[in-house]
Amino acid sequence: MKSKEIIKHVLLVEDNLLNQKFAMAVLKLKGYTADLAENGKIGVDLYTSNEYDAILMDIQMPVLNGIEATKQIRAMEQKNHWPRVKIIAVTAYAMPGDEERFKQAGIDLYIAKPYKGDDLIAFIQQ
Amino acid sequence: MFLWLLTNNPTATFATNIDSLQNVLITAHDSVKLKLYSELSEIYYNIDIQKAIEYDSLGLLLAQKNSAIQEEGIFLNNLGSDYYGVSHFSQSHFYFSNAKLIFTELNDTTFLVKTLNNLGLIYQVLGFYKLSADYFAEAIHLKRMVGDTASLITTLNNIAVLYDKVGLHQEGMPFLEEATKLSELYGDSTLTSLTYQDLGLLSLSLNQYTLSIQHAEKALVMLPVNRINDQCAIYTSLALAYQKMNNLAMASRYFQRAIVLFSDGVNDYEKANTLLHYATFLNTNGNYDGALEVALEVLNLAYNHDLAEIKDTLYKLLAGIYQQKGDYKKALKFLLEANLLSDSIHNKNLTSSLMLISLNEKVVQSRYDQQQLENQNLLQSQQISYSQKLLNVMITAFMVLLVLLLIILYYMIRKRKDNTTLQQLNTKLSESEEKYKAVVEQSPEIMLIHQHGKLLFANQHFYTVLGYSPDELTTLSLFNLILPEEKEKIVQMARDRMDGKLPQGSYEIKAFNKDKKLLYFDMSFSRITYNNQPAILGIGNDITDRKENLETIKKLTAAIEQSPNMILITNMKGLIEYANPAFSLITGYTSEEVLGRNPRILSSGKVNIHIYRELWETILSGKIWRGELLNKKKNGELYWESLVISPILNEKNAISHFVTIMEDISKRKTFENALHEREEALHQANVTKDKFFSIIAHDLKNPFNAILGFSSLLTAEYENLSDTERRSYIENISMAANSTYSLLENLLEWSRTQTGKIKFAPTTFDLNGIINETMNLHQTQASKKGIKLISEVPFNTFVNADKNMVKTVLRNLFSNAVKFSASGEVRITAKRQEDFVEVCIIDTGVGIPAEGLDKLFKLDEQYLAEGTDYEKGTGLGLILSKEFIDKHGGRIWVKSNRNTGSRFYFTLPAQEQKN
Repeated sequence: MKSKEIIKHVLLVEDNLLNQKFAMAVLKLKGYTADLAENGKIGVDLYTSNEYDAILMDIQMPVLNGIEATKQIRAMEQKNHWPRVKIIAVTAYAMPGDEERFKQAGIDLYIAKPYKGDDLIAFIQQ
Repeated sequence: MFLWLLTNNPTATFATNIDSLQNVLITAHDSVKLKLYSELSEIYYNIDIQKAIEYDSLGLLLAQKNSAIQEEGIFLNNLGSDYYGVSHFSQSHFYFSNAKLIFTELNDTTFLVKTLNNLGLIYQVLGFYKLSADYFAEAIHLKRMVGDTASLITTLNNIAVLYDKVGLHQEGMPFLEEATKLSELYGDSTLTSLTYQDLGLLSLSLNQYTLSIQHAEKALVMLPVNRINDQCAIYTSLALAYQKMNNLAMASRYFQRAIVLFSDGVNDYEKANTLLHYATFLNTNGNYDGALEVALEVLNLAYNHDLAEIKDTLYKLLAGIYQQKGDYKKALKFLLEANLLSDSIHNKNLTSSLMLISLNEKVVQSRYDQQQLENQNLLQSQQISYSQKLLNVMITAFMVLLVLLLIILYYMIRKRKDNTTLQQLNTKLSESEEKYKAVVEQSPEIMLIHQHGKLLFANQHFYTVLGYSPDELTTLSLFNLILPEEKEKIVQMARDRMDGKLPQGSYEIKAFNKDKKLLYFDMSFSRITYNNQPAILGIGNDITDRKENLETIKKLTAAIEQSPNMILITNMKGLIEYANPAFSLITGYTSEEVLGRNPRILSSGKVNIHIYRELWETILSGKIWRGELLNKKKNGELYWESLVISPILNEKNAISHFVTIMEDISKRKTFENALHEREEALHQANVTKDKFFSIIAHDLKNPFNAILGFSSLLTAEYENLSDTERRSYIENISMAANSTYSLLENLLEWSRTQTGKIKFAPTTFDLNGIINETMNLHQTQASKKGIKLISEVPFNTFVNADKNMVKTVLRNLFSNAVKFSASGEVRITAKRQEDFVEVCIIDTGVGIPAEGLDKLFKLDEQYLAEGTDYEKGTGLGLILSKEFIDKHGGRIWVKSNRNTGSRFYFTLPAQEQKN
């Protein structure tokens, strides 16, 4: 399986230690390489200096949350005419209206916690 | 009033013994007899007027028998004076007029001037001021010509009094000044006294009270003993002056002195005058009952003698008294009467006429012949042809006696009857039709005379109100105008009244006018004789407007009386003039209790003074004030009311009253408060719910994400994983499970506090026990980070607290301290602070930024931070801790600096150490 996959580079923006560990374990298992950002601010910094095929973005984070980080990324894309990166929101808790809010910020897909490893990969590949 | 009569020998004083005169009379010759009668009448005039009348009548007969025309005139003038003396003015007028005719015929200026003066007086008393002025002017003119100083002084006085009476006080003064000068020259004490009396009167009118008193006292000193009427008048004048000076005691004393004189034979006119002033005096000083009693006595006198000039003042006074006593119906009646009187009797050109006299007395002469003609007309009905009469002396004498008898009889009968206006009018109609014709025609009252519904007479007002012309009603029966339902009853009553079965009566009549509009009349009916036939006299008013207004007022009153809102009417001073039943019902104060009081009695004392100030400023500027006040009922209970206060403006646009409409809104306020509380609770519940969901979502889902994720990875990829990987996954699962459990513990505890299931159960214990327990619990984690846990709590630190709650607080604070420290130490201290034990947990960790400090203990504003090992916090621990410490009556707070660590303090009630 591993050999058949095209290796892709993913950015994980996640503040929770255990979730970081889990997501990184899944990505590694499925043949992805990944960078880790502990909050949105670090995520945006990493994005500006690296090229990613997808960004897994937690929503509730200290310093800069997922929504704001996404908006900054989309703004930079537009300004610099960069290609649009796929941003997948990973959230524990979505309120009605959140989906709309995510879309407006520039989030393409969202996956709810708790998620299965396969689901995460399916979303990245979608 | 000070009326000067001129008898033919006004200043003559006879010391003659009456008996000797009477003896002479028996045997004397007719010419001597005439002289004696005159003298006797003169003497008796001031002692017993009835005797004077007797002698003057005898004298008149004798003069007529002997064709002594001049003597006849003298006795006629005397009789006029006599009747004037007993205040029978119509009789008096009759004799004076006849005397005037004779003196004019004889061209006897000496006597004519006196009679002219007397006629002036009569007209003055009857209220015909213009005629009065004309006669006085004529008299003065002639007196100057003939040089009759004494008589001139009298008339000068009379005209000054007339000026005074019509309000031209200053203009009257020159006449009196002339009179004073002349009387002092003339040297007659009576005339001088009377002049001073009038000077006093005029000074009074000119508000020179001290001067008035001086004049009156001078008049009193010079006054001959027998002038009772003048004495009475001077006392009254003094009383008035003292009253004006506000010396009520002296005023009252002089009124009493004047009244005491009544029994010595003061005439009715003077009595009425004194009593009228006395009644005014009583009324001014608030003795309304006394004033009314006296005024009614005056009314009786005024009716009996037709004292028009007194009636005018009297009606106004009575109207005032009744108004004070709250009898507005009667007050209105008298006010109407007064207006009626002044409109129809007083000559409107009076003032100018009087001014003319003083400028040009000579004009009078040219009017002389005209005046004569007028007088003849006046006498029409009782005209006696003197030339013919000379031949029929005996018959005439008999007739005069008969007339006298009839008059005396008439007055005797009339005194027994009750003095109603109606009867007075009834009598007067036949007595002096001339005079009342104008009154009747111009009356604002309806007056009609009918026989069985056939209209015999009606005044202008009647036709105006009903809209019919006199012609239309000659054929139409009055009964046909009456409301059909009531017609039969009214017709029967009219029939009974015609038959004399029904006395005079007043009732309401409903009748249609020409336009078929139903009108209401308040009518009085009485039986009279009209053209020698029995007829019904009806007098009354159109009260349709009043009726309709009354209906409106009734409706409005009912609305106010039955309103569930409290309604108050206060005057400008803020004193309550009306309170409706709802007010009494709600506040507990009866209407009587609050009338005349300030609504301040309702003040609870809990309202800011600025609100009252704003209220007054608003309403005094004519605007409406709305607001809510916390007031107090009579029983002390407080209540909220909503108020609207509106000023009421009078016709001059000035504020006269305030209307306050109040609603008891205590219930609404309670509801509002309850609603507010529930809203608050709901908000709190919402915050709690949000918090709950947030915790479930993030803080439970996150560890479960790890547990489920890693366990499924282990299951699916077990073979593909290295041993190190598997071990690491299992450690992660364990870590997630631990954190989930600790979170669950707090969550459950917190939810129990929310539902009130945790009971506060304080006991006494030593803090050291649970501190050690808690420290043991955190030892493993602290050791991992290399953190030392140190307790500096003294032995036997007893508190009175709920052990489980304190455990939770310590667990959370220790857990936080360890979580937010990378190394160093966590120290716990405790010290006694008065009745409390102050516990402090000190760490050397990351600290809390200043902006986060405020949010720490609040549910709706969270401060969330990660531990040094990325431990997640929920913010629930501190909130829980605060709640528990609050239950003990203690305090919890924090001091922190970024990077140097935090100090969390809390206090618990101390317990004295037990031995």
